[in-house]
Amino acid sequence: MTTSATTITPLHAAGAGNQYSFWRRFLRAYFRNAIAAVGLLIVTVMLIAALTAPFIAPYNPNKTSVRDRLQPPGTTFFLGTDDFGRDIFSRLLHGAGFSLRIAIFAQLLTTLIGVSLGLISGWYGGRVDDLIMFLAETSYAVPGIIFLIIWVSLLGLGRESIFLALALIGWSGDARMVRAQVLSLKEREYVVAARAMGASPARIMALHLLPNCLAPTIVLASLGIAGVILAESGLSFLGVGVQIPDPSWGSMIKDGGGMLTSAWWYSIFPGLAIMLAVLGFNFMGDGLRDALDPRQYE
Amino acid sequence: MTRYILRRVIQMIPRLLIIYSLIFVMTYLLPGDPVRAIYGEEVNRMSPTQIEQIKESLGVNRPFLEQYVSFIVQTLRLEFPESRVMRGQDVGDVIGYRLPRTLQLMLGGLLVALCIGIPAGIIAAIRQYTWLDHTLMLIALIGVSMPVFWQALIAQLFLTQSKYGVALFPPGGYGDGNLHYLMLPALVLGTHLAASIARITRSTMLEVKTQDFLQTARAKGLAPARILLRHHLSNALIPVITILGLQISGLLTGSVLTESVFRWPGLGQATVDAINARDVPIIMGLMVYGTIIILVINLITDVLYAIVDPRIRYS
Repeated sequence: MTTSATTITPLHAAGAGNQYSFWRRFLRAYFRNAIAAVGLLIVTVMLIAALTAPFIAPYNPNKTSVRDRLQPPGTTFFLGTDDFGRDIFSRLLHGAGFSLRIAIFAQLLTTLIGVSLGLISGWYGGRVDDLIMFLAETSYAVPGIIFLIIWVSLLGLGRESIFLALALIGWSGDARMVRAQVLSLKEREYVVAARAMGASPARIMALHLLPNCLAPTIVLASLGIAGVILAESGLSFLGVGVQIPDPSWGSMIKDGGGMLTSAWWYSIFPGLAIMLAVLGFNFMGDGLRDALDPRQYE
Repeated sequence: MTRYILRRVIQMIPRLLIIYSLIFVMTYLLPGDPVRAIYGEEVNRMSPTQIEQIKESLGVNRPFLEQYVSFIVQTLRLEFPESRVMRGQDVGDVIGYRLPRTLQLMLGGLLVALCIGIPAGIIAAIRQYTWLDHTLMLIALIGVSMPVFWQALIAQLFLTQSKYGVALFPPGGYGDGNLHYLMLPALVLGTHLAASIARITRSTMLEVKTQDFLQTARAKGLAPARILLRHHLSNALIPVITILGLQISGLLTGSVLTESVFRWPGLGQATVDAINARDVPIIMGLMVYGTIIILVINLITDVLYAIVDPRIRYS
C-alpha cells in the first residue's frame, strides 16, 4: 500500500520463472502491509485459542463456586470471575470456539450460495438473471435483525439453523459481485474460445469464470466473517430464544451488563474479545483487498 | 421520473409477498403454547373447554391455508390485527407508538454520524498516506469492529454515573421526549455509523481525486477551497448517498441493540417483547412494516441519487 521504492518489473520478465508468480507477488504485497500482517496474526492466535481451549483454559468454564463470586482480575483469576464464580478467561477461550465456528460456517455457506447464484445469474442472463436479482434485492430489504430474532426464537441459537439464517440474508452481496464479474468475463476471448470448442457451461464456470472471481470473493468472505461475528454476538446479547449453557461472548456481555459499576470486568473483557476477533478479520480483509488489487502492480 | 417511481412501488408487491409468506410459515411453526404465552400460570386453573374456546377466538385452530389467506386479506384491507397479549392494542398502535421513537434515534444517530464521518473521511483523503490518514482510518476500523451494544455499555459506564466517570447523561429511558435522554443513545449509534461513513467518504474522495475535471479546475486557477467543496466533495458524496441507503438495515440493527441497552421504547424492544410473548400478529406486523420502511427508504435514496447526479436518468 505504501510503496514508492519498488522497482518496476519489465513485462516480459514477469512470466519468466516462478519468481514473479501471482501468489508470490500477492504474499509480498500482503506482508508489506503491517496492518494486514497484524490481522493475520490476531486471527491465527484466536483460531489456535479456540481449538485448544479445553487444554489451555485454566479452569472449567462452567464450574460454579459461590466463594469465588465476582472476583476482580488478579493472579488467581486472570480476568476475574462472574456472578456464579466462573473464570471469565476460561469462558472467553471456550466462547471463541462457539463464535468463530458459527462465523466461519455461516460465511462459507453465504459464499457458496452467493457465488453459485452469481455465476448462474451472470452466465445465463435473461429470466434466470431477473429472478435471481429479484431475490437478491428482496433479501436485501429484509430487516435483518428482526428476521434473525424470529429465526433464533424459532429454532434456537447455537444450532445449525443460525448458519442458514445468516446465509439467507447475506448472500446477495457475493451474488451481485460475481454476476458483475461474469458479465465482463463472458466476452473475453478465452471464454468465447472455450465455448466455441464445445465446453459445457459447468466447465466454463468452474475453470474459467470462478478462478477470476476468487480474489474479490476472498475479500468479501474475510470482511463477512467479521460481520457475522458481530451479528451473532448481537443476537446472544439480546438473549432471545433458547438459552444455551455454553459460554458465548454476546451473552456474557448481556449477563454482566447489569453489574457494570460493581463488576466492570464481567462485560468489558468479552466485548474486547469480540472487538479483537472482528478487528483481526477486518484487518485481514482490508489487507487482502489491497494486496489482490491488480492496480497494485502497475 | 413519476413512471419510474410507480414501477418501483409496483415491484415492491411481489417482494413483500415473499417476505410475508416466509415470516408467516416461520411464526406458524413457532414452538410453544400460545395460550400459555398469554395467560401464563393461569392456564393451569383453566378447564380444557376454556382453553379450546380461547384457541378458537385466537384463530390458531384453523387450517394453515385459511390463517394465511385471512392474514393477507387483513393486510390488503389495511386492517391491523390485534395483539394477542396486550389487550386492546393492535399492530397499528404498537408501530404508531414505537416507530417514531426508533426513527428519532436513527435520525439522531445519522446526524451525529454525518457530522463526524464526512469531515473525517475528507481529512483522511486530503492527507492520504500521512500519519493523520493512518490514525483516522485506524480509529474508524476499530469503530466498525466494536459491537454497538458494548460501545453503549462503555458509554453508560463512563458518562452516566460518577463512580468511574461523570454523570453527564441519564443512564436510560425515554424521559417523555426530553432531548437529554436521546443524546447518549444517538451519540453511541452515530459514532458507530460514523466509522463506516468515514471509510466510504475517504475512498470515494480518492476515486474522484484523479478525475480530469479536478485538474481542469486547478488549471483554471480556482481557489483550493472552492475546488474541494464544489468540484471534489460534491462528486464524492454521491456514492455515499447510495451506500447510506443500503445501510438503513444496518442502522436499524444498531438502533435495536442500542435501544436494549438504554431501555429506549422503540421497535427493537417491541420485537423482543413480542417474541418472548409469542405475540404472532405483532411479530408479523413488525416484520412487514419494517420491510416496507426499508423498501421505501431505498426508493427515496435512489430518487435522491438521480436528483443530485444529473448523469443518472431513470426512464
